[in-house]
Amino acid sequence: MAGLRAPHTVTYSYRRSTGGATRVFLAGLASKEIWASRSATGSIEIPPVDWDPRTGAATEEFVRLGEQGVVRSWTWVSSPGVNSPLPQPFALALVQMDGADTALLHVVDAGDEESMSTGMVVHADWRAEGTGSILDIRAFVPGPVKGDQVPTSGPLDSSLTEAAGRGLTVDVDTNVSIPYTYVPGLTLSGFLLALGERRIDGGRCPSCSGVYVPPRSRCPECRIGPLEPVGLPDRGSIASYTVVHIPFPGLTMELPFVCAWIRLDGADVPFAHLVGEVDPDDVKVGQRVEAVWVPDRDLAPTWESVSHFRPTGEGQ
Amino acid sequence: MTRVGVVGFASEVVSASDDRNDAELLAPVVDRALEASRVSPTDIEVVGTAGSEFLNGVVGGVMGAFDALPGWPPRAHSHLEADGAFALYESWVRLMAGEGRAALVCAFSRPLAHDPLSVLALQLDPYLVQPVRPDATSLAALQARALVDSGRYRESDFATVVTARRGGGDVDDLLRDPYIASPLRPLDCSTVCSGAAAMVLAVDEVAGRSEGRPAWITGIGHRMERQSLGARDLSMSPSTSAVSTDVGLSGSAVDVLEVHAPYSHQELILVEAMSAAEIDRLNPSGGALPADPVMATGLIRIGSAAAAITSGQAHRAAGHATNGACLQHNLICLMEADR
Repeated sequence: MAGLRAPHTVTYSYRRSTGGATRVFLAGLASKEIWASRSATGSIEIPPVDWDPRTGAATEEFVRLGEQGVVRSWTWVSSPGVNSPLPQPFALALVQMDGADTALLHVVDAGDEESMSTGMVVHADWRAEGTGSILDIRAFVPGPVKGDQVPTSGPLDSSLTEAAGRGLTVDVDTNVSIPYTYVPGLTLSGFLLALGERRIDGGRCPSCSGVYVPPRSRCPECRIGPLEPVGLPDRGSIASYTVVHIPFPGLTMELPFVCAWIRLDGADVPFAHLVGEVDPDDVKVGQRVEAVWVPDRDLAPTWESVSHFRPTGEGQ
Repeated sequence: MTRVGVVGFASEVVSASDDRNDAELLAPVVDRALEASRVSPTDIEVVGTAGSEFLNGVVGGVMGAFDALPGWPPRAHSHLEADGAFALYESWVRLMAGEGRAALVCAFSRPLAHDPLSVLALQLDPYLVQPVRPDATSLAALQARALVDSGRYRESDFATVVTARRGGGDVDDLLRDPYIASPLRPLDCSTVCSGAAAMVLAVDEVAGRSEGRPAWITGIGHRMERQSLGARDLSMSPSTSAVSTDVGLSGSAVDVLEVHAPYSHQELILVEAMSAAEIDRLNPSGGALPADPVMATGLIRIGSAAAAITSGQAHRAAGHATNGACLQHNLICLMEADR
């Protein structure tokens, strides 16, 4: 049996504050300055670090470097993605700034792959407006610095950092969107397809006779499977419920609404669904409810084929 | 001192078009591993699992896989977002510490993101690396270039690894393929797929009950390098060298060595770093290149090495697993049969 598949995109956003060496570095970039850390042993690290990775000693000072470096390793990105820092083909590279002992991951805007080689000299090309981002350096470009850019073969300034003293707050925003193909599996596909045909299917464990809805591939207690398919009525009782009063992202319901654990007649476990057509104050544990299906033309392999459950009025 | 042995192992790799979910994929593999071990599910007191919700995009989805495990009564269960080899390490520690006498270690993988390896690249430093949006293959290519520039290996050596692991092909033909990320070509990169693996561990008292031939773990350890790619010599793997010494592989001979190298050049770096005195068979399972169920791949390497011992094809074997960008984190498990 073939299972269902559906497109599914996960997005998430974070705003991260920065501190220590990372703040010094990003605040420097906003001012078109490149800052590194100098450890007690004299090694100069870029991106700067707060503690020496070998000894754990705190960084002694931050030092400003020039804008020129050499490519330590690289590869060619011939088909940039929508999120790539440059729209045209470019090199992803490790660039070692002159005077530093470590290299920075960045891009080289070289035009074509033939222009790239390990050891080539590059320099920073800045965006007009710095924001405190690694991408304030638009890209590195081939060749030594020129004009009003800062050349150097070592640290320009070994006094304690100007950048560190600025007290600037630097935040880093991360916006991620990942496309997936959701594959619910064979057992759940059968359940969802039944919903599209106005049926609720459960599964009965051949060992303990427990009935699960939605069905599972195996009985979670006995570890036996597959379960025997069993058709269930679309009515049951409220096992527990809550009344939601607080809005949240993605909310499509009118507030307040009732979310309940509903145990169908003949099932041993409840599932969560909505309860409607009733004043939230009148909902009770043990109340009898029935499924309200969407119109036949809107039926689909989804829990949303059941619009909600409503009290049947039985036992009142 | 307590001894812990691998007494059962099973795995399955399937194409991305397989429609089973985690539990449906894992359950038959767990059945086979338990059956091979002759350890009863009721003897399993420690469970270690590994997988990645970032790969399949289902938040909380790992819980669904647990239906495939011995579930009742509740056991000491730990789940890692890492390769299953690291769940093996944790379970081994817990058995050695006396927390149980048998353990089940599982890994399952359904990379359903359209670009699964780049999803993992999103887990790199969010401040200075993620905004540059490096994709996983480009990061590996920086390492491959560093290896070529070191003068120790050439692109033709990468192609030789490809022909060995992918079962044929001609080196010169391979070198005519266009780059996917220079100096890497498409066949230098592993074929990502879905899969599951299950391993049963037992202390000597329980392992002795079975008629099988346990693969006793004589050394297992892992080491991690700095996360800053530009602070590492990517052509070398000092973490692998150190752990190879830790576990007793360095300078000694093994019948079988299984190396987890999702890119061809990484096999060269790893084998060199391990500095075994003699390797009779390297990656007889085919290694990670032809089938890479990310998060299960490393456990499958170790399980394949263990299976060589339990089946009598090897006396001493080692398996390796890696995690992170450009071989940042490396684990080696060295195993031996009783004489």
